[in-house]
Amino acid sequence: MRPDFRLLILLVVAALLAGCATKPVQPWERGRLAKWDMRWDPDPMQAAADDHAHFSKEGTSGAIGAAGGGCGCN
Amino acid sequence: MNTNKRPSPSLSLLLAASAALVGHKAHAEETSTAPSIGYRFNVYDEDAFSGAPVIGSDKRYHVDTQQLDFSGNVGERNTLNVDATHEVMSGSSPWYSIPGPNNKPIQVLSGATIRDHRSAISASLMHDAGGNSTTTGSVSYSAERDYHATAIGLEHTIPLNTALTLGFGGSLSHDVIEPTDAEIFDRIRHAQKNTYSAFGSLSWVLNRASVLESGIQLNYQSGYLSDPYKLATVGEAQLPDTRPDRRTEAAWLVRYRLAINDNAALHADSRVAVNSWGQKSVTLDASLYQTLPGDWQIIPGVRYYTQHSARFYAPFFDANDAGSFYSSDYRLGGFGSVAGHLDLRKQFGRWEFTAGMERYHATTRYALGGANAANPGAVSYTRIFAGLDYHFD
Amino acid sequence: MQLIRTVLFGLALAVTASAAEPGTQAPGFSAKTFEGKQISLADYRGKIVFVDFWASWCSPCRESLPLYDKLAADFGGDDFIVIAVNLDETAADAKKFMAEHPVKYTVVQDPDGDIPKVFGVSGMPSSYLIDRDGTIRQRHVGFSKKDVDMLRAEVTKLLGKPAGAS
Repeated sequence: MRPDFRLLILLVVAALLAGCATKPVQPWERGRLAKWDMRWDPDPMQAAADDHAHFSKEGTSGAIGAAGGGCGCN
Repeated sequence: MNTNKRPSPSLSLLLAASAALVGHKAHAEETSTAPSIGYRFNVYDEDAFSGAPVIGSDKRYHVDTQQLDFSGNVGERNTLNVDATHEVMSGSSPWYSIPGPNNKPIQVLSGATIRDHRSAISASLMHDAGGNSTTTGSVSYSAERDYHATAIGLEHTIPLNTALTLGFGGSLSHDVIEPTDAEIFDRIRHAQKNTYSAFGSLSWVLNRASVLESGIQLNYQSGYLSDPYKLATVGEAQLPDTRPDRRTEAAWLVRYRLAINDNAALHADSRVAVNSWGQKSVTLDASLYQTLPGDWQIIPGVRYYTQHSARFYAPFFDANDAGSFYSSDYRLGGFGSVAGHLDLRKQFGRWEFTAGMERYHATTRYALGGANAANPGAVSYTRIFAGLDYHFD
Repeated sequence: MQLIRTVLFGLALAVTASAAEPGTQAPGFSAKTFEGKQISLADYRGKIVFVDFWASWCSPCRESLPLYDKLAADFGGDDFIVIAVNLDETAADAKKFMAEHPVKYTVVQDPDGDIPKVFGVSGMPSSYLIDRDGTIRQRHVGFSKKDVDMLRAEVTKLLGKPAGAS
């Protein structure tokens, strides 16, 4: 578990530093970020189906109706 | 305002009556996808047991799911999303396991083939609160023969400055279970479970080509948390799966999106979770979104998951060893899993076609740090889907 | 050091941003249309000018463009002009968008974002209504249909005033 923690923390801190060191992104410079492939979930229906499949087969869910996923899934 | 007009994905997940990720707001730059309508067909098929000794059928679970989704604008400042799901489930499931030669567990699956179906409906309304803030409320209801769940959620996002957005929210769910064949198998007749969940997240626009999000989610569950269809071998007898009546969980989620060039983006997600049953897990997910000429996209991805077993999990128990709680449910055991998926998308004017496949394989061998007990029920599956979307605008 | 630089830049930006408030003179600019014609704001001194900053990836723009086109057509004549400043970094994206949403008013390209910088644009889309003397009368960040009505009313009022009147 520990090696994963260190890597994660490093990634977050590095990204934060990168964010602080560069100048802010202007409103008209956000075209690339607006594209479909840069969304948190480009396909929300599929993300929902993916998470349902994973969380109903795994023990740590972190949410509503877990360990079964709001259903009696076996 | 160039606010996102798509309801927060975390609530969309709630809507599909599935576990929700840490809530967040889509970053303000995302363009609206409403109004639109979408249909998906998913086939989930678990691998039959192979190699490991099994009593009962060796066929496992199969689920066919249909999903219909509608997104529309209500006035200038609101987006409504309605989602309906219908699933047909069949197949047998791990029931309990018994010690075999060399104390290696033998898995027993439920003899009769289960056949059940589940219907769920959910709705969410996202309100543009001005100044790039949004408020979203949602409700959902899921029903199957033996299980009903109702949930509501509320979330809010606020930009703290041009680069940083804060999101927070909560949800609660009330579930009722009335197991089938309760008298025949001496199961509980009626039980309830409540889940309370809260999250907070921050998302950053790092530069013109990348965004990062970090969030924390806390859950508290209370009520009947055991599985009425599972037994645990304690000594010579098979006793009902017995778990504590409460569970607290905390999860930390980090999501990163990087535009590699005009036509490709990398998605990297990680999730670390711990709960009061002694389970710890780590999830690592990476996908590449590649746009190809002719309005095609191809999305390969990999996922690694590892979990530590619950304190009271074991494939079987000695009569003296078992404490007040005992479960042999494979989902509470230690294991690791590796999954790969490949999706395809194609646009034809206002239509969008999508199809994909996932292959998932769980085993104690992949557990980080090793699994401290056998887990004969660890599952492997194949999932295939196809879908069609229509954008009205 | 980085922090000081960031703060100073932020301040500089803040100073620039306050340069284009209603009541102040609109910053001058010059740019090429997609057909290659060079135009500048100064060319239209004495007329009512509506400057709109937009891009193909900005979803409220899809709604606003045809409404501005109608506005320009309704006021006809030579005294009211719409100049749309396109901020797409790739000209092809803008051209594709305009093929799908054609407009008759003037569109200039500014892929480097020099013009929104001097105007201190704080959100997309942003628009500025400039009177005959070059003074900014209205500024809108974001778009809603109500804005067009307010615009219509103000343009009518300004058209009634000759240059030099307050």
